[in-house]
Amino acid sequence: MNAPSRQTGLGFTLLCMVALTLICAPFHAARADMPASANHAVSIPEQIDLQSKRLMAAMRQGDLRSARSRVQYLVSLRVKAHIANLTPVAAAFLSRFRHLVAGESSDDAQVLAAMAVDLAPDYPAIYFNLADAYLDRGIRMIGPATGAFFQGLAAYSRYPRGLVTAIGNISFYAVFSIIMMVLMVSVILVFRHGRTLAHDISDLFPSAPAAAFSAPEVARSRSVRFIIQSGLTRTLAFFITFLVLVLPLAAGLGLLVVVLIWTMFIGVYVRRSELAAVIFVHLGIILILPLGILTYMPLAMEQSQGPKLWACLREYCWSDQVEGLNRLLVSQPDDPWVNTALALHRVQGGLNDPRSLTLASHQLMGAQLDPKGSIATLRGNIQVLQALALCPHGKPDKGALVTARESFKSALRSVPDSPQALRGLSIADGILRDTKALEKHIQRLVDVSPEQDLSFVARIRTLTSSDKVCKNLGGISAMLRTPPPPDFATYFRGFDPLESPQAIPFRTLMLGRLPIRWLPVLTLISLLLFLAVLLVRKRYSFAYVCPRCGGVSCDRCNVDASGFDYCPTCLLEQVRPAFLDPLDLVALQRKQDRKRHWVRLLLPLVSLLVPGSGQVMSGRPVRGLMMIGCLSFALGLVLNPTPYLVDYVAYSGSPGPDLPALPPLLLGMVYFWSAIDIWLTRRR
Amino acid sequence: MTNTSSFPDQGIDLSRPSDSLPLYAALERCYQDGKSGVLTVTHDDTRTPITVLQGRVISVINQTTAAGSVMGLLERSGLIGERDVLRAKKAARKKGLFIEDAVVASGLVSDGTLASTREKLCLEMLMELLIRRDVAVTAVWTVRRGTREMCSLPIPFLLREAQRRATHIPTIQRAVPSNSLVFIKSSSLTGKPGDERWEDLQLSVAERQVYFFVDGRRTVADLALATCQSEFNVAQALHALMELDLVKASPGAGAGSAGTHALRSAVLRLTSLVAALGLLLALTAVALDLRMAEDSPSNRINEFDPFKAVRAAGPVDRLKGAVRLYEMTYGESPDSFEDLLKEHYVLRDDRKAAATFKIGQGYLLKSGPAGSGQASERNAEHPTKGRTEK
Repeated sequence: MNAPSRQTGLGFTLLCMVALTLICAPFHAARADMPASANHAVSIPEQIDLQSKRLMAAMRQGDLRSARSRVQYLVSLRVKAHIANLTPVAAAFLSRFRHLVAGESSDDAQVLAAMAVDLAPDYPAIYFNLADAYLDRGIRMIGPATGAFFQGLAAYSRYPRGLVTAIGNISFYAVFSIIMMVLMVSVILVFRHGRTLAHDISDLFPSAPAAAFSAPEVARSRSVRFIIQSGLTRTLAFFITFLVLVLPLAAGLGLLVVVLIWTMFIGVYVRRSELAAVIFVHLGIILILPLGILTYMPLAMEQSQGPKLWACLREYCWSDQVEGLNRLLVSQPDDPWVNTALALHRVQGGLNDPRSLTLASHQLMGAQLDPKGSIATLRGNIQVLQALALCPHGKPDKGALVTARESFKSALRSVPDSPQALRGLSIADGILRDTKALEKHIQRLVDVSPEQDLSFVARIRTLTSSDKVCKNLGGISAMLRTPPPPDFATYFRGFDPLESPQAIPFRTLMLGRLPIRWLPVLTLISLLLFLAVLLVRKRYSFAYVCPRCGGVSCDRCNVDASGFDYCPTCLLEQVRPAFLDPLDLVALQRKQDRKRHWVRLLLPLVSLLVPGSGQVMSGRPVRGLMMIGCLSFALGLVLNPTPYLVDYVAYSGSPGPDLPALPPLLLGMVYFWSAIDIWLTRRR
Repeated sequence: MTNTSSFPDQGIDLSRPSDSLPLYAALERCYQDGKSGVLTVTHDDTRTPITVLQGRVISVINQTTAAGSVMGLLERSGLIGERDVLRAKKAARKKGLFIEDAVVASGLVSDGTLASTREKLCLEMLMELLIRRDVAVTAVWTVRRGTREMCSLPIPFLLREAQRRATHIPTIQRAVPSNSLVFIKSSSLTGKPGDERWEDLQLSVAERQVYFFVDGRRTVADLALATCQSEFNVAQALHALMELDLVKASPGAGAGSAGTHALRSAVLRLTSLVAALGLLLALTAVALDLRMAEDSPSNRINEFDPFKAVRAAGPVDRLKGAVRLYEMTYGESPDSFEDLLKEHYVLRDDRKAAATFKIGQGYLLKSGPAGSGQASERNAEHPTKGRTEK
């Protein structure tokens, strides 16, 4: 490229910077109102509350047998009450489990842990506890322990509150790590290519003579004034480069935007191995917005109706949630899940109470049927319970049972293989003594049932054939099942992630006055510009570092200095006077190499101080990036050892005041890795 | 290397150079008679003693061959720097050595390079004197003991070289009439600069060296300085380059204009850099000032920071969970923060949040003696007292 075109290119970049500054000047950080904290009084069904207190008392006293029987009883209460998960009870159980089983045999502990899974089958921590209990029995139980562990992981798909909290905590650390990685890699790359950038910036200014070899110049070059002058111009050029890089930050653009501008500047100098690092910087910045949303999501969800609705459906309603759901019904009277939640709440509150069951049934009448047949199945279940609760003349209410059968059939029209509807239908058939229909539906149920334990089939036959079926409402209720609602669709109902605030550390410093929603757009634009710069940079002659002598030069300076497009320093070596002994020339070269060697000595030191930095400096950015990532993640863990996002409904105590083992282990591993890498690459 | 612009005048009878060149004649006689001694050459009020020993010139004492010139040449060749020279002078004074010997002793330069340098200087000085007619030569046919050997130049070689140069001088002088002439590369006049490839040049080492330094601003004298060659050798190389049409004489430019141009360029560059720096500093100061005005403490207080909200939520949520856990375990609400801490339900750092965490009619963090409500074993059948949290 000839000088005027390169000047135009750099001038255009500077113009863009000024334009960006002016555009962003009027913006202020958006003020998002602090969400008001919600009222979270818990209203657990009384009988369950009583039994859970007894369970905790038994655990406090270390009475394993009593605890086991309480757990069994609580599980049966849960199933009868149509509560999918007793999550707070399970969490409380976990808080005392280790204390309870200390001193007991590991077999007993594992049995109790397995039983406790049924307290909250969708709660992941209960499976992890079971995996722990398996491992306490020895290494031979690694198989079941792994199975339990993976069951716990799978449970997250049914427990959105826990998943959102876990993802929020991971995002908290991830956003911190990514910001550190982005900043460190960018600073190091700018440092690495700073000399070439300074050279090109100084070439924008009028050039001084290339070398002092005329007689007057030789004399002058020995004078202090000239030495200061030449050093001064170099220093001024570096200062100007520094200010050009820092001005956008001073103008309020924020570090992340400044990093994008830096990548555009250094785009012309990066090598192929550094491309991955620059692309990562862009991708990292793009990820910051969604990670910020994910970090804040648990707090943002507290104001939304979805979590409350989900809790009502999959755990039990809290007192303030019922009011909220009733308010929601005013605007959406036929909403299937709100009606289902309120109906379940009534059933849980009065299983034996015909009035509660009637109200529950009426609640569902106004609901729009869902495509999975859940409403129809629940309606059928309630009608079966109604039939048994009423029991006129000591016999189940036939009308209610017939209506129940219709409801189950309606569900089966939507989902022909619904095990829950087939269960209910079989029970209704059994109570109605329709043996043929019973066997037919039981056969279908067995064919489609996902459960491995099919003993419920025998129990259905036994319970429904009994003459005292009216007295066995609890047992019948325990056999009925309702299809689960779509967990995530319910939980995230009414929540718009794009409207949610984003939790970004050091927000003002990172973003300045820029609205965060502009960040991904700017990053994409920057990435496209960077790719465009890569495509066209070969056409223009930018500064480069001579691989032989380490000096910085450019094509124009080469031609100005010697008339040839070669590094003038290297070329000068070839035109040394003939009277010089070749051994002296070799000694001179070695002396110059030794001077450059100190830089190479510095890199290992820097790598040991900050793992990854030396690797990026020495042209291995991918490896350096990985080390910096691990380092920043470990630092995040050390600075914030306890996660900030807590699922207080399923809270089972704090992890304790001591630093967990992972952060120092990870730090040690990263430093060790860096040291090994330095050792292995010492001769390069 | 001489810095004078004198090329010898023409009119030398090359068939009988000893008739017209005094020093030539003296050396010839010296060699023929096998004599050794000191030939003193007087020219331009300068005396140059030349010591001849057994058919070889071993010493030429002149400013051009003095230690200063040797050091200057080594410096210009790039082998040593100014600091190295100062260090060598200091060492020479300390150890009582000649400075050139001190440079060798300190390992900066090898014996071979020093010897070659001295020999070159002596040779050029002799060549200059050999082809001059306006010199007077007196001879003393004794050699003082302890005469320092600076070179070892055979007299036949000197005489042949002098004859050769005298033969070429007219041709060279026609091409390079003055040492203040400036030459320019032909490629910079005709083609695009930078298109020429260095490795494609079919030149001798000396010619390549001269060609490298030709830049349209350096005079012949400047080229001699830069290449560390004599003006004659430079002129010879330039003549060869002109024959190959690689360089051309550049009209108008001279040493004076090059120096002035250099100074003007440096001043312009410095001024523009300072101006740019000043402008950038001013912009930065204005930008910082504006930002500080906007980022006032009152503005900061009103801004909601979601990240800080997340960090603040952790202790509060732990307290909520801990209170619920305590109530489920003991059937009653905790009396104070210490009750929860004792059970390891909360962290010590949550104390700050406990100060504003309402429980019942009071706050969780109480003043006065801690643990007023002990976590005693209670009958779990006590009814739960519904408490509203914060």
